[in-house]
Amino acid sequence: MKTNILDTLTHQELDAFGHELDQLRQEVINDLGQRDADHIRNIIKKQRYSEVAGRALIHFSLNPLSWAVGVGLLSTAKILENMEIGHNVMHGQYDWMNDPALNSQTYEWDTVCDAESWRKTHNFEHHTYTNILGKDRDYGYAVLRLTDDEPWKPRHLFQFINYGVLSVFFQWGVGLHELETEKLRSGEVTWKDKLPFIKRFAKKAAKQVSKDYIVFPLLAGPMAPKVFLGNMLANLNRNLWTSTIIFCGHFTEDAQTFKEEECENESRGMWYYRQLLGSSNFTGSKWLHIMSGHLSYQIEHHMFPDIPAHRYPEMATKVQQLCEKYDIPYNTGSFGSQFKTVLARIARYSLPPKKTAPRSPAVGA
Amino acid sequence: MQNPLANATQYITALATRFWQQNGALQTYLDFLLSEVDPMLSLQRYMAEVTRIIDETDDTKTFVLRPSSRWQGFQAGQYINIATEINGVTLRRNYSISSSPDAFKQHQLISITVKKIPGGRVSTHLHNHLNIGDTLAISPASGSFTLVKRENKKQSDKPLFIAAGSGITPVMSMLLNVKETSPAQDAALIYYVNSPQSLIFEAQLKALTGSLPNVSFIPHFTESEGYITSQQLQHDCPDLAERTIYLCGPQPFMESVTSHAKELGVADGRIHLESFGASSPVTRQSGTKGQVSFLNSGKSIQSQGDKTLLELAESAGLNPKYGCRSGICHECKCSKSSGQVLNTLTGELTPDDQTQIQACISIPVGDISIDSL
Ligand code: FES
Repeated sequence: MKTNILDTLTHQELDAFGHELDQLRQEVINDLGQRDADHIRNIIKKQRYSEVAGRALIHFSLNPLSWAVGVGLLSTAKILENMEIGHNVMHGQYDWMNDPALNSQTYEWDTVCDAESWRKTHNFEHHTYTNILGKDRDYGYAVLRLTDDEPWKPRHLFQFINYGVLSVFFQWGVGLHELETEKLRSGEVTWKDKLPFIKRFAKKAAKQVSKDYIVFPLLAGPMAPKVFLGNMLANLNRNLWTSTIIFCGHFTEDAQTFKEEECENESRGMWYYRQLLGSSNFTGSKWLHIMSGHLSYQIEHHMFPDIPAHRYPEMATKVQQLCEKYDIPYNTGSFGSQFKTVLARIARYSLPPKKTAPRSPAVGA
Repeated sequence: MQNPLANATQYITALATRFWQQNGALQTYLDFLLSEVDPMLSLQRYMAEVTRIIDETDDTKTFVLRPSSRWQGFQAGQYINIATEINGVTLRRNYSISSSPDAFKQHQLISITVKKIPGGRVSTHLHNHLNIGDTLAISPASGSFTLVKRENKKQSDKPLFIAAGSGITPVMSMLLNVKETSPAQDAALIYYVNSPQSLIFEAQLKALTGSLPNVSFIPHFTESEGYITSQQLQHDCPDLAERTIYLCGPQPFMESVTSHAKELGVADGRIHLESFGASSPVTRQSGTKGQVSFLNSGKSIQSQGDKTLLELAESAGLNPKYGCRSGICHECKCSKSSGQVLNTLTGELTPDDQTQIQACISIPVGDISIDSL
């Protein structure tokens, strides 16, 4: 059944669809300007103030409440930096500004994941081969079974535990993604091949760990433990949050997967179509969108990864109209309901496939 | 045995120093906070505040700037790169400093003199939107278009300055420098402008050359006199062959002066040029052939106007980074220093001053040079 997903539209329809999306993309590109520069600088300003205030409160708090507020501010700062700033800048969304501080190739973000490695595994692998099994290594992060195309093994019964661990240590999972542990295990690549990556990773991780767990605590002298703990909590909050956002963007029940054969000689229209079917959105307030780096508009992000993300809400209206016109499903819902379907999906694929009724894809539903 | 406490302190100090030196951590924050208080306090950039704006001619203004105190100074004839933001896009241009090094030493002020170029985005923006009290990001001074110091005092080294239009700006600084350091110096200035109205620094030049006994000033007006000729040059400066020429103006002007001067016996090494200036925007057709130079590797290749920059780089034997080869991932990003490319996704020409381009979807249009790839 799944092999037919991409065949629900004719080639002409796909071309027309692709053309309309290209046009939408161009309209926004032509309109980029001060408004977009102001948006990102404004977010950066808020991020910096909340980091400075958060760290100051964690250091100098006199009671648990102000300490907790500090942790909250630092968590917010870390989330803003990783999502609306780092992730988006590294996609090249603000390269047109010619500002060296916002350049996709030189930006380095506040997580153990090395930016160079991220550009390779995320910008290239994930965004080019979105949800193609065996090529998009984001699919389940080699930890989770999320489709019947992956054979069931008894260890999958416990994948909820794996999911929990992955979320708690999310930045480490993302940081080590390029290690390709599954290929190391199968012998496809050797540790020696991975040495350059390991060195790069170790350097970045050491920098991050020493910042949050050595330097800042030491600066607080006898108060080091509370700084250590505060920084750890802020990192934990950020990990849980980003993991949840990312899972809601790709692993909801109706997000589709594809086989390599389906995507050979893919046209631009087909590429757009695959991005759309493989992603899911969720609705919410302006600040929910900003805190998610606008990955709440995962569909638009996947179609237009290098357009400034705060433009996605306005683009989404048009994308939705096009979906209606071409009778293509547009996967969206509230944050809560989308997350529920993620959990349901993880649960469903913990179990072996039911032989009697294979699930049919929800195309057109 | 050393005191363990001293050891620890030493270790912590070393760690703190290393941490401080790692760009992107604490300094970025400190710099952000300082800049929030006052942009001039930035430690990562040199800023300059506009303190005065002088109308020189109808289309030329001088902006007097006070650089932040860390700024190092300059030699007469050098330029600074200034960054200005227009509709969210930072554009950079080089401008010669038109004031004297002494004025900087005494008052910490420098000036740039900007002629409004038709269609020139930066010059127009500076003219229309830069006000007293605004700040600009500037670079340290650079450039080798400076007065050559005499090694052997006996050897005559009389400068001849030849400028056209706004090419007068570095020359103005050099002349002021002559007045301050060696007022008895024998020097000459030949200055080409369209008409008397477009003579930049007219009063200043007259006063300056009037006060220097051995400096002659010969203005020419192309609207009435036509363009420069060999005879005219010979007439203006009969001892041309003994002089060191400092030449600044539009590219074609400098080319013709150079060939005339060589005809009249001036040795190659005695002509100094400042080669930036008004480059007129050229609109080229797609499919245009050209030379692609990769500056960091020194390689270059001929483009027929049909292959992408990525393909060209590969056939030139380079190993550029790439991923999707279709414009999605930005792995192939490279920085272009001059020339135009056609974006195959949008079918549009990228502007000359856009520096970041994706090699996999860019087809060179005419000559281009790539800084790093
Ligand atoms: S190689 Fe992916 S954008 Fe050029």
